[in-house]
Amino acid sequence: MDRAEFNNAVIEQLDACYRMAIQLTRHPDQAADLVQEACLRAIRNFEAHPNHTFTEHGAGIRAWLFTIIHNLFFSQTRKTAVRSEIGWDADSTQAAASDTREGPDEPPPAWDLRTLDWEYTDERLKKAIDALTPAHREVLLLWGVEGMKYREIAAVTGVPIGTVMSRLHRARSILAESLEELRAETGWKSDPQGHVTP
Amino acid sequence: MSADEPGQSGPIDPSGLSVSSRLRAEADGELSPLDLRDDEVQDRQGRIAFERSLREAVGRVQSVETAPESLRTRIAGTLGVPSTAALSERVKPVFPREHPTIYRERLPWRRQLWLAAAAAVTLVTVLMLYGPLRISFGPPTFTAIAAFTTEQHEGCAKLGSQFKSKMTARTESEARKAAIQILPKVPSVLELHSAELARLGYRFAGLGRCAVPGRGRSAHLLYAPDPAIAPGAPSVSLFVQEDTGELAIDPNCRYVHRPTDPAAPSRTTPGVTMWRQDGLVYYLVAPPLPAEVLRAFDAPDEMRSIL
Repeated sequence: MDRAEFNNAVIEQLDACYRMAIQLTRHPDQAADLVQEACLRAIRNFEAHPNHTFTEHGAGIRAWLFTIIHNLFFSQTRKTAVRSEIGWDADSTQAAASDTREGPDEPPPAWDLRTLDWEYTDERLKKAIDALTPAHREVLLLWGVEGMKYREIAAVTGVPIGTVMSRLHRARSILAESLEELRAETGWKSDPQGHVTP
Repeated sequence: MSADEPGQSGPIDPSGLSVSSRLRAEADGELSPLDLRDDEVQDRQGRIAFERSLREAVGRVQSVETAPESLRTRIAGTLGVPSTAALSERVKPVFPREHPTIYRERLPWRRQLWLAAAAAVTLVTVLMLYGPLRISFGPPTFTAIAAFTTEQHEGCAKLGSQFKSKMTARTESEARKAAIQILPKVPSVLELHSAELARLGYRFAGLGRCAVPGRGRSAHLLYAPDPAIAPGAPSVSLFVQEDTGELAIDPNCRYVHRPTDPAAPSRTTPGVTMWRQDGLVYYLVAPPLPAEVLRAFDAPDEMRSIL
């Protein structure tokens, strides 16, 4: 990959990188700074290792950039008082340790989510996602938007695959709970087969 | 490598997982359905369907942000390139927001259609797992793959709500961009053979991310018949998955699995044709197709049947 190809590849991933950064920081300016700093690191790394193939994370340059963003965010968070402002009360190591606990083994609901009005669903999901920790929002993004496999998410976030599964499990349980509440509020009911009727 | 090491790449061991974790892993295409005991939980399919629709919804909600122009300009400066058209050509969100009121009204026929589709899928699944369609080679995941791809094909081929929510790329240009986000490379059918397929009566309809069972990432491409060239022809789905080496199949052959139910009209009943090529595994869900159409999809000429 020459420098021009590298530049194009980075530009093509800008939206994905910004999505990742905004999920971590929840602040547009901080997200933009994070992406720019990640791009700087990527350029330095590329110039130092021009034969870098970007394949070690299994999904090419996008996963590589995600890894840089992840490492930058969590190392900056450890260094500053930002973590108290964003409600993140554990460093990544502690979070990884605690995330191996799944909590009660409640199976997912069986009703059809698509029978709810998308406007209400998206609004409720957005609120529930906003209330999650950055580590949980991050795995949700990599799973839900970027379509990554567990092993790829584990490579980007540098945690065991079991921790990825636990974080996803917890985040999905919280989201399912909020949607159950929405369904109850809007008066939709399901029959024993899970088909929802008003 | 153990499952506790960061970034481990081996298969997930389902034995240590809770029932709900196994269900979610199965919904994500990380496990074979055979890894879940049938007696563990009631209405497994309903719960898996919920998890898949939740994933779609999360994708919609979290993909709305795009990089602001000011950031693009800053990055252009950082990279030392002028702020050219390449920078202003935004990559569309992976999950563009669909019409929000699409599900607002519940029509009676839709429910009946849904029930009929669910019954058909259940029947096909049971036949593939326990009946005459049971395959006789390789890892057991192929039954799950055939059931999954057939279900997805039938859901999207109606070009209804499932198609609209799943197929985020609607032109071949969008599809090439989306494919490289999902797969290690763009499938050759998108690069080389579009004109040939169009000549044969198949128009590209859409591409969306998918969760074909297995460790590799996957995409679903749908081709609709051109009524002017192939009137009455059925739609065709091509599922493309990153080849992780899970399936030990000969790359020079295509493997065909077709329902053998004598009551089913064989000319229109979709079967699944599988082959591997250049780091990708392909699953073509379609009724029997002419050889030239199969070649346009890059399927090998030599065929083997899966009994």
